[in-house]
Amino acid sequence: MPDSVQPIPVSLKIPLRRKWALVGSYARDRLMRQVRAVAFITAYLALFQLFVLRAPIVDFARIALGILAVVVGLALFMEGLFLAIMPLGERCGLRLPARVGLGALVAFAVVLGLTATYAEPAIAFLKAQGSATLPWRAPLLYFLLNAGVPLTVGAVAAGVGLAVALGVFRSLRNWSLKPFLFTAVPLLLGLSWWAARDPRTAAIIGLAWDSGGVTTGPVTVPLLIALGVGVSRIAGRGDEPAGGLGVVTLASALPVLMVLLLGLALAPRFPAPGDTDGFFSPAQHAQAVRVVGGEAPLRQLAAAHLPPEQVAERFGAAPVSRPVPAGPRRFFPRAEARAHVIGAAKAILPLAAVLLVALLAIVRERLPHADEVALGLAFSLAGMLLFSYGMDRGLSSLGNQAGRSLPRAWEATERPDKAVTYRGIDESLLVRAARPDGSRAEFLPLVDKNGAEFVPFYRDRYDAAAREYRWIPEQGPVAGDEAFWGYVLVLVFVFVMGVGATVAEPSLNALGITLEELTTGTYKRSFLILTVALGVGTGMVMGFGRILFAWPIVPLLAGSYALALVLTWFSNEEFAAIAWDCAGVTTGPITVPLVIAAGLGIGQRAGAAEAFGVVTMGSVFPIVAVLLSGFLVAARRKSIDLEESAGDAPAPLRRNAP
Amino acid sequence: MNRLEVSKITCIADVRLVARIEAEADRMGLRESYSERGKQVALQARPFWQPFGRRFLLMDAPSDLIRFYVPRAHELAAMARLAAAADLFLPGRGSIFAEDVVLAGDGLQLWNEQRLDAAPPPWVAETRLAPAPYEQIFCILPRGRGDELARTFLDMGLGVPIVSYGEGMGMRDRLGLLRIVIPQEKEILWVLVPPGDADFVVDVAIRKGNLREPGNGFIGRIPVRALAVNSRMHLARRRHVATMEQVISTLDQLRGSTDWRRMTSAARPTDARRSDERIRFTLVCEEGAAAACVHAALDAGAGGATLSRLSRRAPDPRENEEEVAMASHARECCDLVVPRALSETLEEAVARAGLFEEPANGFMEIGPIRDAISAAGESKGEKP
Repeated sequence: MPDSVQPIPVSLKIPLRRKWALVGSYARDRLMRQVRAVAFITAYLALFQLFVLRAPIVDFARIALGILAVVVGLALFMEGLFLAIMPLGERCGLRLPARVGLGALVAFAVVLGLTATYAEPAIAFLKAQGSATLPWRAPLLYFLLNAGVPLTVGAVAAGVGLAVALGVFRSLRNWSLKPFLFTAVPLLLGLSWWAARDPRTAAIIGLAWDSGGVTTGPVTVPLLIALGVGVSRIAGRGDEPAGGLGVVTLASALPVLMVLLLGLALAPRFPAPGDTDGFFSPAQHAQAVRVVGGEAPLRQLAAAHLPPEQVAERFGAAPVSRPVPAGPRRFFPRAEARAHVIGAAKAILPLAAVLLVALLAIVRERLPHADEVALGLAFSLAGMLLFSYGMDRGLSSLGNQAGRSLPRAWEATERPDKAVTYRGIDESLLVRAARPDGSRAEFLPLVDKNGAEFVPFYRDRYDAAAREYRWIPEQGPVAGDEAFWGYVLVLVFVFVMGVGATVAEPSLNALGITLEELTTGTYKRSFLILTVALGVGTGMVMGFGRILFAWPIVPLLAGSYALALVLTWFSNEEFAAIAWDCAGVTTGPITVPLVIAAGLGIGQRAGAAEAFGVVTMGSVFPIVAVLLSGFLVAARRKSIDLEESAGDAPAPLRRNAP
Repeated sequence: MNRLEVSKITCIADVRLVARIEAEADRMGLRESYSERGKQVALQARPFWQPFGRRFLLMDAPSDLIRFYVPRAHELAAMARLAAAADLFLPGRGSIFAEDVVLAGDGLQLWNEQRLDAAPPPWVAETRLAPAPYEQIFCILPRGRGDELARTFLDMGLGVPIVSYGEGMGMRDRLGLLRIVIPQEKEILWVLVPPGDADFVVDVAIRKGNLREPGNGFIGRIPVRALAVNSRMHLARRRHVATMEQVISTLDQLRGSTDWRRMTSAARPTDARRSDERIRFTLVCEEGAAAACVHAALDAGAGGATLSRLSRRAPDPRENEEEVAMASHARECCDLVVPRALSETLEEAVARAGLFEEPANGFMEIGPIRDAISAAGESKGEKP
């Protein structure tokens, strides 16, 4: 009898050194994956800023530490996703339908969707994109982003809830995703067109479309994918590995619908866009108060935008406000750290609680590998915390610096870091010159090691008592004097940034790994990520192109979605589901802050009421890219002939028949 | 618990052909089938737009591995009909083969007696079509190592490798929470080869897969009867009136066997540990129920198991639409290779663990296996 007949012990003892070696190799592998993911975008942002925009990197140590936190955070978070969040989601999908019936399943889906939105409110991003909005130029948009935030979040949550329910139902019944797409997208485009006709609602179109993209966060997306995969395994569509996808698509589309409907419903109660005087006029006072959400905010706005005497006339004497003394700058400010802890807990715990309650209380099942789940939840919490902290300190900060330097691409900028103070200057040295309109400009002849030059003289930089003049040299546009080439440089920047950020997105990685698993590696994760990244890059170019060149949003949306729909029509079900799910997946916690960062620089130039639409464009072009890649794959697989044989006897054998 | 001696038919076909095979199975009265997603791998010349890399690239064709169980007398008829439905005789489409297994379970309703027809279609006799003996050589490797071995098989012209994914169970589960640091993902790679070449292929697999090293995998061979074997190892434009695969398949048919293509003169001994004293157990049960059964099997002395996920095809959705829609099609399947002497103990152990009862609702498949080789084994037993 072979030796293996001996029963093996119930638990194995491994020497401590071997244990450490195992843990070390596991940790190294996970960390290196994230280093590879984050390295490109980090290096790119730093090098672009240093060598193309020729701007120094401020706060280098802090940023480096932040990026380290991003890497460790991402590694922990991804591990947490695969140990806890996704298995819990899949298990809910597998167990709930059989145990609780359809009605309760739909109710669970709605609760999950609502929790997901409240847990990961991306409203901060939407606010940032609309931060340049002035209440008189887009009153409804201003309301939805400020006083009306609960309404906006409510609409988005309702949309996500409905979408999850619909997606789960679809997977369970094996319905194709295409009819949903061919209904939802034209409906949304039609509503957008309708909204664009009314100046009051025109401004919220961008908000509505972006809210669809950003609501699906890094915890929600993998969870919804896992839930869909679980449900579709129940339905047993053997020939359709991507049958569980599609929930994310719906969760991106229905919030758009809800926000548009909310906007259309509220519009009659809001004033049309106008000017400052009209907005603050006594006749419009009630409506203005509604727009900004109260007397006090209206007063603050007036103080910022009206002359003091007008403010005093309309609102009475201003209360004295005491400035808050600024404390010492700490490396880890406590309030900020607390905010990150609360944010991470809010993102993970409510969703995990919903899943655990569903499994333990409704399905009444013992949790398999409960220790693994607990460890996974701890990992995802710690990971989320480190990641968001690191994003704030590291990558976002780097992105913000690059973003702020972006205008250097098309306009001359001052370089305070190269300022020189000249002593012994008096006005007798000044040279006056004439402008074409007859006015005078003053110049100061200065000598430095490169020789003499006339520099513009600004009186506010001249200290007459000390006879000192502070000269801040200017740097010409990086891309030459033509602003057009500056814009082109910016678009190239956002393209590569989009690609780099997408490669590091945790949700996309989770989707890639799930797909690779479902398709036994026939759909490679790296292929998906590359395709989607190129799509996001293209989308960024279109989105920022819209802001820079002031392209109208509705034709751009309609054109891109029409292209996506046409490709979907000809694509197979598997690629359609993958492609449309990618749309919701791309706009995650790495891309979004960088979009805001780039928007910072570009928004200044644009003078647009808002900088929305970038996320939407960054969502629609991955769809196009993945569908196109599907055609490429199908073309390569065509070498295997699968035509139906005509007769009863198989073709190669037929000739042998007597 | 009933025991049923049946033929297990395994059909591997490009996913685009699966609907035709399932429709034919329905027509024939095969009530149940279990499918798993996998891929058939072939070589394709590197396209011109890819200037770097190897001359031939691995091309995956997403395929389904579908298992049917039929009475032994119906084996040829069922294989012929299923193969004809998807025309698996055309190179590149797929393979179909059968083996003898014993099923143990309660209330197995695998086929509809009235609709099943034991007589093969007339063209089978006309074309002198008969199943040929083959050996299914399967390797269980750590995830990511399959491609390398698949390329070796293809480069050497040994056969079209078929790959599916699984998870290893066994030692890992006994490590407590430390288990998370050991990857459980496995790749199951198998290839159908003529019996004359089996020894050679096993040798190649052991050498190239480095299966002598502990923890690197497991290899086994199962004797099967194949009616159609995919032999299209190169995806390329046809340059002659017939492809090499068509010529080979015609010669196979004319010679009545695959012996003429033997590459070695006689079976050569391999240096890894071998044993014919083993038996293969496959437990199929509802999703989530396998772990308990496998743990019982491990406690009874099994060395390890490989878990794969299956999808069960529903009997007839029209019988009770609502009920069928909500019933789960998700199944788990665990393969264990154990010493023959352990067989009874193991059967009792998994029965006690509830394999045949609610909620597992499972059954067990017992089949022969030759030369189960685990170079890793030594004192720890097999590691499928």
